[in-house]
Amino acid sequence: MSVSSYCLASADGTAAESATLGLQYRRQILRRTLLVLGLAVMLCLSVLIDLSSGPSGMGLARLVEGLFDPSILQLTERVIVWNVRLPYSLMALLVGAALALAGAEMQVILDNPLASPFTLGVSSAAALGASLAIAFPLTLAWFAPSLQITVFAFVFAFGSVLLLQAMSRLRGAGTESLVLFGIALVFGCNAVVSLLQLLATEDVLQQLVFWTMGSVARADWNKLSLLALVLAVVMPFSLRASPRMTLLRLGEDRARSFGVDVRRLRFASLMRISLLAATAVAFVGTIGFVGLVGPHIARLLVGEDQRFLFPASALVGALLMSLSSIASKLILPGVIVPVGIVTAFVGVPVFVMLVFKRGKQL
Amino acid sequence: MNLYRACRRLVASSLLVAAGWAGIAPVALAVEVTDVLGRKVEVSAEPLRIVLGEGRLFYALALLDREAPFKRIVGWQSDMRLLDPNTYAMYERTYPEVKDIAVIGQASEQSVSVEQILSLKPDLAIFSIAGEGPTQHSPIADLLDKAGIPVLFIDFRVNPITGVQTSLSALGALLGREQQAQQYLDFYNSHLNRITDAVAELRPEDKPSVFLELLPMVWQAPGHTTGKSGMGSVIEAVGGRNIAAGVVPGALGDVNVEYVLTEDPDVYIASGNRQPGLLLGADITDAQARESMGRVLARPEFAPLTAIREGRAYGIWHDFYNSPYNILAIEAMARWLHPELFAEVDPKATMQELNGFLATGLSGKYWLDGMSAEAEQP
Amino acid sequence: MNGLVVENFSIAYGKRRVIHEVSLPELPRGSVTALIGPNGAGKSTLLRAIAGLERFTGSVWLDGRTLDKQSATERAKHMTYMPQQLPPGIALSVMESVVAALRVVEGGPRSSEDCIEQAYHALERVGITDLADRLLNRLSGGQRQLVALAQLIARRPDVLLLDEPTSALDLHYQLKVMDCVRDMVREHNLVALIVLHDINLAARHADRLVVLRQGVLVADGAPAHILKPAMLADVYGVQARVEACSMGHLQVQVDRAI
Repeated sequence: MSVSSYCLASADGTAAESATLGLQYRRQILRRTLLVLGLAVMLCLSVLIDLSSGPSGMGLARLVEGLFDPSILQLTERVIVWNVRLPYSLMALLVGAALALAGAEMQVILDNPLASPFTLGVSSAAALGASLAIAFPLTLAWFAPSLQITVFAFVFAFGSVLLLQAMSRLRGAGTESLVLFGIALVFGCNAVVSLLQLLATEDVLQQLVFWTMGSVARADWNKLSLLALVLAVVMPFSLRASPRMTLLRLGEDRARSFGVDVRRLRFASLMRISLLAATAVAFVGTIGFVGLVGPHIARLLVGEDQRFLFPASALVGALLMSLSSIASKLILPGVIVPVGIVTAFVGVPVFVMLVFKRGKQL
Repeated sequence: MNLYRACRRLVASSLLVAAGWAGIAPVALAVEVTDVLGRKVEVSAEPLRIVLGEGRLFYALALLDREAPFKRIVGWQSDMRLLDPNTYAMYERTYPEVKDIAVIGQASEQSVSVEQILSLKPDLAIFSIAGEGPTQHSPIADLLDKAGIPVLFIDFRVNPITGVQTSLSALGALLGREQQAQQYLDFYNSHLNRITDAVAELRPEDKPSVFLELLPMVWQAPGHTTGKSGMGSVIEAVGGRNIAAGVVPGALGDVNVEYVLTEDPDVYIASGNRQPGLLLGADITDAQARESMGRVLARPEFAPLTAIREGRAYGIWHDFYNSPYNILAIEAMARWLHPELFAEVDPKATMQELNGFLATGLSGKYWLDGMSAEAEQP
Repeated sequence: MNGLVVENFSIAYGKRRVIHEVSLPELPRGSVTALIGPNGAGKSTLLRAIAGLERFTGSVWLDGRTLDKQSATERAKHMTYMPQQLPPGIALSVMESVVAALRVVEGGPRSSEDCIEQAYHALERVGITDLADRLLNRLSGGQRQLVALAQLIARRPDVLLLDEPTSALDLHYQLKVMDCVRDMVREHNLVALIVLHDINLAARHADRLVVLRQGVLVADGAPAHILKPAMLADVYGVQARVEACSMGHLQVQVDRAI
């Protein structure tokens, strides 16, 4: 045993050493907790900036005043506050959190750092569902076309994850097969959507194109509440599973031998992933990279302990989307650059950087 | 909608009708019209701040607000500047204030900022039912509704001919320019009816087959054309048979080059407005048009077409597909398809007449007759 | 009965029989048994099955109590299994990984203090306390194996099932890992069943050898009794000499293939 700064000369320094070691470990835990809190603070700042930026020039002060006393605002200002700024900002952060949390769970469960709702076909399946609803709307009095689009998108997205789950039960289907199947899903769904676009009338075509491009502009308070509810319900379950997920990172056999029911864990995780990803994508369309890059950035900050990684991923995802939302308003004054495009611009360089860094590690 | 408001509107409408009979055009009373989607759109006073969902919707307003046509426009998308730059340059020369009109989007639905629209405090928004701007499915229409801003949907694109009627009358009524709208529609319809009446008499075998290629050499592949709607319906209206009608399932599509060669249409029409394709539009000269058409026709894919070899190849300004001035395209195409039947039809003269409705008239080359014909000067 | 008993084990993948009615002699507490044999003998499969990771027919007993019918969590309290390697590139510190292994033990330490203390003791036993705050992805293969061992030890199991723990290690760490295992087995009265490729390593550290060939038990007993040229020729198809080195350890020297 090598001599180290921890080793005290006497044999009964064990208790003292233990206390010291505990200290280092505890410091590490504290550091990680502070990082997570720090992310939360940054997110709040970002949201405040997002709320205070926009072409109408309404500043944060007036917006906050208007929240407490709506009578001081004119009608247009009220619409801007309640129907534009607040919903768009909140939707951005909720979607970012949902996608990144889903991505973090996917990367553990499927043991693949490239797994995300986007790369595994959830977004494409949602786009397919929405496209079918747009191209062939049902005429039912109680089922408005706009609602149909969201519902179909959700159902297809959810179904795609269930399909992945069913695949994982097949004998011999390892995580690699799952990822490949997800890729097949991406291309397959995109192909059908393109076919629908080919057959579409002008009006339908425009709707299809609009939907597939991710945008927070379809946000309303019903959707916000629903997504917030889904996050609030799912997150505790994610956290509860996080210690077992950490063990899963050490190898499936090892985890199983430690008593972790990997099958159940995987199933429950996929349920959570479907709920999060399907809801998020159904409300905003295709947004790439947040679900992939968010967890990776979080991992660089807090490491592989999923108790920290899950909340950190959610926060990083929310932060990325919030910053993208700000950028989408400011890049071209008076013009919106759809947030789905901005996340790709932010995500690609970060992603490439991560790949290089990872290469050095291996 | 409560009873009080309904009564008020009824009184206002009756007064309006009475005033219309009396020849007075009241300005401060509420007006309600039905737009191309069948929606009821109401303004409480003459709109003075208008936002255009697409910049090119301005062409319609130019017909109604002849003096100071840009006076009411407080916001628009940049699509005119980006997609019809020659026309934009022409307007910029005459009306420098064009540069200062607030921009609400680049040239796509996703780029439109609803907050920007709201901040301009418009009293009317005009959107097209399809195209590069917000449509009725866009959440923007709902938001404007919540903010009490009326939205009028017009169409010169999906149903070019019927769309002109509904759109211009609705627009005229809302803006208090019914007279101008009616004058233009009378002019439009008299020219249109001359053609459609004659076409109604034609037997199917008299209708030549037509291939209309959109933006050749600009579009990424040859054979880009339209199906049954849009310009396809215009071809039918002027007594032609669109060879792509049964083949292109949607609004637009790329047909197989082989199919076109097999069909060997009687008439070939190319549309264009910019390099590297056919040059037509504002400030384009005859020489430029001919030279660019020569390049289009020289492409090996379509050079073997009989229509091209025998000089029955024509060019049309691309942006007629979404414009109330499409009567010029209708007349030009009618003449090409049925030269004897429509020998008297004179699109040049019609264009002069149309320019009478505009403060800044069309000036340039907007269609190209057969290359072997004599040069046309605007 | 005081130890691990494996009786009548059969494992089949569809029609293919991998393990054919193997019964291991009772593996007493405090002993190290090495499972050796040629490639494809089914050693790893057998080990995994005992750990509960594969389907099998047969029974497993520990100290007279049957284990194979127990739930996974129950079995995990007594048996621990260590695959060949820890996955690389995991951004967990050594301490974190050991604590993580502790957190899922049913009836294990609940409070942070207890976890930390138990984890520390495991690190100490394995001799890697100086690596406690290093990240796993910064450690060498040998160091990672020691960490994996610490994870097992921290859980205070009764049985250690190790699958080729030394295959990827250099001479230093091979020795270190095997010494560590033997020390712990003796100190805490554990049962250890280790799949080993290296016959010499097995001969040196194991109390008994179990030889498997094509899913069938061929021989078992103390290394001195088992390692004979005849057995090596039969099982491995090589002509070899078994000699004692200058320190008295058994050495197998392979001369040529048969």
